[in-house]
Amino acid sequence: MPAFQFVHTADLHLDSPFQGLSEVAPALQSVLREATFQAFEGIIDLCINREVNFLLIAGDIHDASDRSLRALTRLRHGFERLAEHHIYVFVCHGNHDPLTGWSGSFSWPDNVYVFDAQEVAAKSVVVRGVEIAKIYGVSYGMEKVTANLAQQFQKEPDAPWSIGLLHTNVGNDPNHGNYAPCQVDDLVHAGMNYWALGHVHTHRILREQDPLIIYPGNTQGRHVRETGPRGCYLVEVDSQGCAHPEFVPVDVVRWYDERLTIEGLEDFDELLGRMDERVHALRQQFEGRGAIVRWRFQGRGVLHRELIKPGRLEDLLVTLREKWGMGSQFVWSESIVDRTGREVDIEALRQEENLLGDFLRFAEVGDETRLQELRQVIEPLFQDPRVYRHLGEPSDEQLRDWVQAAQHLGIDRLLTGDE
Amino acid sequence: MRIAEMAIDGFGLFREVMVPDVNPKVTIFEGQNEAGKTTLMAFIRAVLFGFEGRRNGANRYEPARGGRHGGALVVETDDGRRFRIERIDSSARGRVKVSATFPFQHTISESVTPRPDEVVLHELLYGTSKLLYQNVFAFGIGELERLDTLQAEEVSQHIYTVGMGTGLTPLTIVQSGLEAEQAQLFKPGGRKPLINQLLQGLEESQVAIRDLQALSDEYDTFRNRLMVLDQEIPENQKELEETKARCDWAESLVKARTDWEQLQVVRQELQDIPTIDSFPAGGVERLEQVERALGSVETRLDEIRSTIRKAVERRVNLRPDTRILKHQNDIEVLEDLRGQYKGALEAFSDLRSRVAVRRTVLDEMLGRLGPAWDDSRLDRFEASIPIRERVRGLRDRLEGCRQEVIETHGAQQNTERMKKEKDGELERLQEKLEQLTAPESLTRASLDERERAIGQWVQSQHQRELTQQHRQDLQIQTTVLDEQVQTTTHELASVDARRDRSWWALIGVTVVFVGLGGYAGVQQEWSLTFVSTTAGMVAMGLLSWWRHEVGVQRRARVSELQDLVQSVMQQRDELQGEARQAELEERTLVEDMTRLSQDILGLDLASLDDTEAARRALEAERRLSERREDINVRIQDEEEALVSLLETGEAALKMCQEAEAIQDSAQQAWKEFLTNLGLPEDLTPDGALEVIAGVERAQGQLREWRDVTGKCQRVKYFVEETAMELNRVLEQCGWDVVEVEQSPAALTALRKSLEQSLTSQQELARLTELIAERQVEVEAAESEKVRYWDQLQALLQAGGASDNETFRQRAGLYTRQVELERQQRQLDFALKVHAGSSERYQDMESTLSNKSRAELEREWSEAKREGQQRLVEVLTRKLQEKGRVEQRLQDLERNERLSFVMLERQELLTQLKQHASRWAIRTVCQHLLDQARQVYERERQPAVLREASKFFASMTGGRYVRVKVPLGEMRLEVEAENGTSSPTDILSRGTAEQLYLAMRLAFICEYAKHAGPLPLVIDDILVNFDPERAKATIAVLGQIAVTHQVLVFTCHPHVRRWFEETLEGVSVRPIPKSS
Repeated sequence: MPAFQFVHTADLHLDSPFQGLSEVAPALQSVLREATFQAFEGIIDLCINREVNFLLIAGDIHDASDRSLRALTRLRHGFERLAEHHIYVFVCHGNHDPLTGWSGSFSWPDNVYVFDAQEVAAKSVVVRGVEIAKIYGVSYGMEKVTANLAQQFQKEPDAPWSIGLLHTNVGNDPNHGNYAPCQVDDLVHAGMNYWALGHVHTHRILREQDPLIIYPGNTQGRHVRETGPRGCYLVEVDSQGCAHPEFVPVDVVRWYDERLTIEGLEDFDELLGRMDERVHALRQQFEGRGAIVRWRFQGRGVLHRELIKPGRLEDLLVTLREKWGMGSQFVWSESIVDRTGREVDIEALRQEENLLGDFLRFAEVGDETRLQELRQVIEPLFQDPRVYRHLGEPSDEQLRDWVQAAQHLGIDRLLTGDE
Repeated sequence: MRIAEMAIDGFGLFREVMVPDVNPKVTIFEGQNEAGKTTLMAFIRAVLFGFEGRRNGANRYEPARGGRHGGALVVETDDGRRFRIERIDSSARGRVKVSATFPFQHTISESVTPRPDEVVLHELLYGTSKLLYQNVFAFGIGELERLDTLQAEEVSQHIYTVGMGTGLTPLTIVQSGLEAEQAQLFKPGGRKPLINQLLQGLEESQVAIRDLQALSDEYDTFRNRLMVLDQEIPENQKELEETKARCDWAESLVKARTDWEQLQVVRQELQDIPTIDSFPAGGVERLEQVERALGSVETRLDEIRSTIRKAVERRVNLRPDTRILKHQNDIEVLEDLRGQYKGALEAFSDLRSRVAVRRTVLDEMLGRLGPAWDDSRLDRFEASIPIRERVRGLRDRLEGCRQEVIETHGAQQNTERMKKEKDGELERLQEKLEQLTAPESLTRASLDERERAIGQWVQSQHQRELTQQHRQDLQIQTTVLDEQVQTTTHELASVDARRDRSWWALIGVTVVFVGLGGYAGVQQEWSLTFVSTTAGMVAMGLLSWWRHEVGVQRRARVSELQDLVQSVMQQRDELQGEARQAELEERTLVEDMTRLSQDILGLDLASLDDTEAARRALEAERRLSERREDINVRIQDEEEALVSLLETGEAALKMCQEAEAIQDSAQQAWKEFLTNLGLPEDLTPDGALEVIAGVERAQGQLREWRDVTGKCQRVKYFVEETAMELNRVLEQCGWDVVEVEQSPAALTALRKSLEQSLTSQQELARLTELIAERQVEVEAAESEKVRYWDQLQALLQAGGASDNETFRQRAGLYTRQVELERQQRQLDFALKVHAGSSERYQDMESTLSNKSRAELEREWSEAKREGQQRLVEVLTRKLQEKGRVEQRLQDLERNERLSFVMLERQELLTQLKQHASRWAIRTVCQHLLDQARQVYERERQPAVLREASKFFASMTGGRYVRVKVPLGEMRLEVEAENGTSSPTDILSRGTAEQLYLAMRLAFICEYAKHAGPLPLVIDDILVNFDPERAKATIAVLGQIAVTHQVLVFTCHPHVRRWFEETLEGVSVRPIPKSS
């Protein structure tokens, strides 16, 4: 069989905004608005420079609910560039851009093939008169698809090297919407050589061979939970039919969730010094990109008393942004989460028979009933229809985190002298 | 836990101090101020809870006398185990080591794995924090007073804080702070709080996003319209092109009609005029050019000949003077010297008068210097700057010597004056001292001894009063006990009496039944006898049994009463012994007081008022003694000052003599200097400086006189030489010689004559050259005239004409013929352009021949109306619309506004999350604090208040019965025995301190229930208590000491005595001293 190569990507989420940023410098706003597009352009450049035969996109190209025309036109422009180099594009739609959605009728260049939502279709890739591969795929017709679509895939008996293209949640991962759920066995039974999947935003190889099953992840991290490199897979298939996947990062801005302990730190200068070292190390990692960092301060130490003074964290954030937040290799400090504590033995204080001891014992959230009681306390805000619409119901984990923070706050306010 | 031993290695002023066998109940540490009470308290705190931190500036009690910083406490737990807690200074708080001591060899938890010492210590202290210990278990009068000075609410808060056992922030402040922060974040229905503002912003952003998303529908509409336009526009364009072609042909015909008509006219004229094949190009212009050239040559020939004629006539009249021209150089040299010569003549007379004036001035100066001064002496005298400096130096030396002599004389006189003043002051002080008479026994030592005696007398008097009071109490108690003995003895007697009466009752009953039985026997009533006997026996038995029981009870009662009598009598005896002891003590005191008053003071003191009078007298004597001492000191000072002045006077006299000698030496040096300069010896330095200045001025004048004289000689020589040379030139030119005075005028005349001769000579040469040049020009003009004539003949021949006029007529005909031919070509070309091609040209010519202009114009206007107006308008409109649609589509595709607004919305959402999180944390914290506070108020406070009420009642002897906190208020109230309640601010200072001490002790008891007892350390808290309440308070402390070890620090002996009197088993120890 002739050797060939292709690029596998998914979850482009073109023109969908970054989340979790409370304020961004004007100069940075345009960088962030362009980031998903730049990542997509990176994939197009990769296809052209490496002269691949085709590009696979496994759903969630954009967020249909956002109805961004800019996303579709930039997408079409990218596809047109591929058409000039005779590179095919195979697309299946996912839960964020279902085929019956707003963008379904948008017209694409001739080199683009969009799989239908009715049933699994097969499309041959023919290069210079030779059929090098066959691609099977199916799109989401609507946002919430609960059927196991993987079971509908079946390689034809005389088909060449075959690829399954699907947006799915393999193994019912609870961290992602459970759409078109399936198991690895379902994918194996379909008889494909390669499964080009989409939906899970972190790149991972589910199975190394027979078949090779890959999630390429999304192309650009958009919030603090999407840290680390983001990109696509470049897959080379040799004449023996062996596939060699290579992860290629294309993200423009990278997210980091940095944790720093204040233990042993005496003052702000030492803290800034520690952060300086961390930023220097980060810049070694992200190869000329920009970065957004959430700083999490933790541990117990003398610096805690400085951090809780009014306006200190805000001032520090402004300092960090002025220091590193500009230029091509910017490191924008998204926020500072202060979870530091006093140098006190909380468990010992909790045992004391006094008001602070009572306070700390009340702060122990043991059972569900107690948690629900505290949930009622915050209802005046979270049951406000407008707040509920934007933030929803706080999770139990969130509530426990707040109680923990309330405990530290209470200790800080009640204990004013030296311990 | 109790402290059994203390071992201090080095701590503040202590070094290697041991305090063994500390009383497990109450120990009094007595010592004067600065004995180290506070240090010892700090030591206990430091070993248990660590040294003070280095950063906060607190006293760490570093060893002042050496030794290792720290030490150890041996403590005993409630179950009898002993531990040694040792802390030494290594880190900030110090390193602690806890080890079990005999009889236990294991650690507190008996676990296999040894645990950190801090953990073991923490267990020993029941988890008590340092702050809690400091606030509750170790306090002094300062803490009590501080509570008293606070406002009511703060007092309450402070009490809560003590109960909290933690920091010092009042709960209400914490809660109100949290409440304010919550209100800044969110308020239901509010507008200003941050979250409310963010919600508003999110609503607005949502509206903006909806509007922007609606643009996608617009996009679809525009796309559809674009597709329609893309179909329609090409069809319209085709139709328009066809119409336009028709219109263009009609327009061409209309436009060509004019050209075609002109072409017909041109063709006709060409046929009418004769044909000339060729003619010289530009013939007429060339003919006129040759005619103008011929005329010009002839005019120039006339002008040149006239010029030659005039030059010849002028040359004849010119005659220059050759003799003057021959001496041209000499005259020019004299002319060059003219200015200098004229100036020299004028300067000569001026210089002569200046010479005379300078000499007169010089002679006057020499006259002022003296008869011995002339030009040669002036030249010899050296009036240099060093000489002047030498004069000034000598002058300063003389002046310095003179000043020194004046000052030393002045100092000597001043010393004499001060000596006289001191003598006067000494006499005055001696008189004052003699006025302040005093006995010789009035010394500081005797005064101090008498003051001490008064103090001891007062103390003894207080002691005597206390002893008397005590004796009276004992007498009252003895009387009470006597009454008790009498009552008990009386009761004992009554019990004995009751025993006698029962015996008689038994005999009576027996006699009655025996009598009755005997009577029945006599009457032979055997049944009655039997009954009587039986009844009698039963009655006797019952009576015997009753009597036995009564006897047992009586004996017990008697024994009890006898014991009581014995006990009371023993107590009475003890009291009497104590009273005797008190009497003895009082007698001893009286003897001591008598000795003090009579032997030492020499007075008969009877009461405390007498001591006040004695004190005042003593104070007056002390003031007299101090004044005498003060005057003696001043006399001594004055005498010492006088001796010092005498020494100063002698030194001043010596300095005066030395200064005069130096002045003589300086004057001698000055005279020698004047002699060397040849000046008079009586000259002063300033006079000498004036003479030197005069000589210097005369020397300057002499130099100037010599300069002017030299200059005058040189000018005179120059004038004479120049006049001689002028006369020589005048003679050679044939002119008369002149005197010096006329020489400038003669020179001027000679120069003018030379200039005239030179001008004539130059003009003659110029005219000769001009005539030669003009002759050459005449010859050239003649040959040019011949060449132009030849050209004219050749031109006439080429134009086929015999003369100039004919030539001009033929030229006109040829020009017209050429113009018509050009017009014919142009019109022909224009018609072909209108037609577009050769084929269409034929069609056009035939159409133009057949149709009139009006017909053609009508056809054109019809085509225009159809094509350009209707179809162009339609097409233009559609193209413009297409452009607009495409532009709009591009705008929509490139519109970043949606991205921007969505990013902005994300920012708002993030801020909302952050602020909501902050609000939630504060709200939960507030809720938890509320719950803790409710528990505190419900469960802890009442127990504490109950306990505090008990203690407060005991301390005040039942004056106050209850301590309470009004419901919902944050202040304390006390209830008196009559049921009235009062706020704390009306309490006296002592009572308020008793209240807060009671509260504190109540907290300690409450704490011990939940944790365990810890040693209580108190520092002189009884100073504001009256003796009665102090003793009552000590009794309360005795109750506390049942469960808690009490360590009392005091500097008052009477406090120690109160403790000893009130409590049993109290240990009294002095504050230890370093080894």
